[in-house]
Amino acid sequence: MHLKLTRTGGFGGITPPPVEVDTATLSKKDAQHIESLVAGAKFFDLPKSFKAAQSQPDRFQFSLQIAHEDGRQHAVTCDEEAASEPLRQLLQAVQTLKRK
Amino acid sequence: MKKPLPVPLGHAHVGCPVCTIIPSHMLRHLSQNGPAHLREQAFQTLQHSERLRGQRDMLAYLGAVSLNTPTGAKRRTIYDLAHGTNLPGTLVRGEGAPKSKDAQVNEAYDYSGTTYDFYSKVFGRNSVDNKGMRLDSSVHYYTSYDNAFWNGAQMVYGDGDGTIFQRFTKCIDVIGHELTHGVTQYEAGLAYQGQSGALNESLSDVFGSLVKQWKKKQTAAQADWLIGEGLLAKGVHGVALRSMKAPGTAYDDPQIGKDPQPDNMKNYVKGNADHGGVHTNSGIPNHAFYLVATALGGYAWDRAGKIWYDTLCNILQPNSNFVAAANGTIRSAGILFGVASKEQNAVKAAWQQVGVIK
Repeated sequence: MHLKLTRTGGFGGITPPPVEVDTATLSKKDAQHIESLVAGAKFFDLPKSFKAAQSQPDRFQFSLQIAHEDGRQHAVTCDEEAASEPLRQLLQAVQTLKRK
Repeated sequence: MKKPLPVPLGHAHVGCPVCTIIPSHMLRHLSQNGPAHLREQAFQTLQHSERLRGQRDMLAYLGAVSLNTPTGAKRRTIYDLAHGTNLPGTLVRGEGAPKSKDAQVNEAYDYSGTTYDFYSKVFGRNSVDNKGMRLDSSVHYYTSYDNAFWNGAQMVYGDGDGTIFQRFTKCIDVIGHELTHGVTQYEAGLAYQGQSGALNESLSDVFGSLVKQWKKKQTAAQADWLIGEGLLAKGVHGVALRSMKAPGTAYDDPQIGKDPQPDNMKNYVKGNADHGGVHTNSGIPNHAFYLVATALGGYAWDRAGKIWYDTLCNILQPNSNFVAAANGTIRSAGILFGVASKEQNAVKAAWQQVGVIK
């Protein structure tokens, strides 16, 4: 599975370079963790874009693109504060992988 | 009542009915009339449950009427999220309580206090809502979280990742910036997108910077006019997150890119990212404020700050754009200092220089 995460907004208004992850290059444990988070977030069923009803100042916005080896592809853009807990965990996990 | 009621998952959209054993009316009575050692806890418990029910009006009513905080009296509450996200977290320091071993707790406490004092002493404002609203801060939000934010009711701070960002409580102007989002929310209510959003952002930078200058007793000439100076970690090529004096020059590093802020309308950044570039295009009104403050000299909060505060409270609307801000500050300057005064002329010249008006 190939994931690409872009983060914008935030207090600093900084857009770091996108994080790209290919689960085939991860340890089995990490790859399975990502896959279960993607499933838990019901990622492929999410709308293409969604915002918070009331924007919270200085929150991030995320854009996540995933291409699954089974052929499914999807891209979601959302406000950080509108993301479900499972989606937040997926976003955090992808960012954390980059730091390893 | 030893513990506050449990707070469910920290996102408002999670549908979880809130059932409390102690009814709200009893908590409310206790918070006003109960024994001293229970009043604060009753208030917190009530605040948790009322917040979960979305009844912010009730909190404002309570704060204004029954707790009746005189102007100049701070009420700060600091919480530790312990790297979770369920706001507000565990209470770790209340108003008047001794210092914590945790530097972030103390920074959130001290700098929100300075911000309160600034607004109170300089503008006669009693807290974020001008009714003595309690100042709640939560630290250690999530892990390696490179951010701080205002969620509509409280401040929230991340630890930073350590490589690019340090902890967000480190800089007094960050705390002043976040609290000012609250002030703006209660005053002009500037919509957080496009030009009104960039104005919202700029006001937070302006007053965040003024809090820092006021604390250090710096004149406009002595101030560095940087936002988040010292927040970037060692090894990152940059001095701050933003510069009001020279937008676009604060940083240039491969890990975070180059400071994209314009200092003039001709370089206004279009596009949808960041709610239409609210943290980017704020460079234009930021620079206008810097120009007014340095043209007038002395302490920036005395005249430029008063003009901007007056405009925020009495003129700006949720959909105000840069031209409205220019016209509003020019008008405020005329009312406060006189038509064709040095002050009004400086404001007009500043907005002309950044290309907002001709």
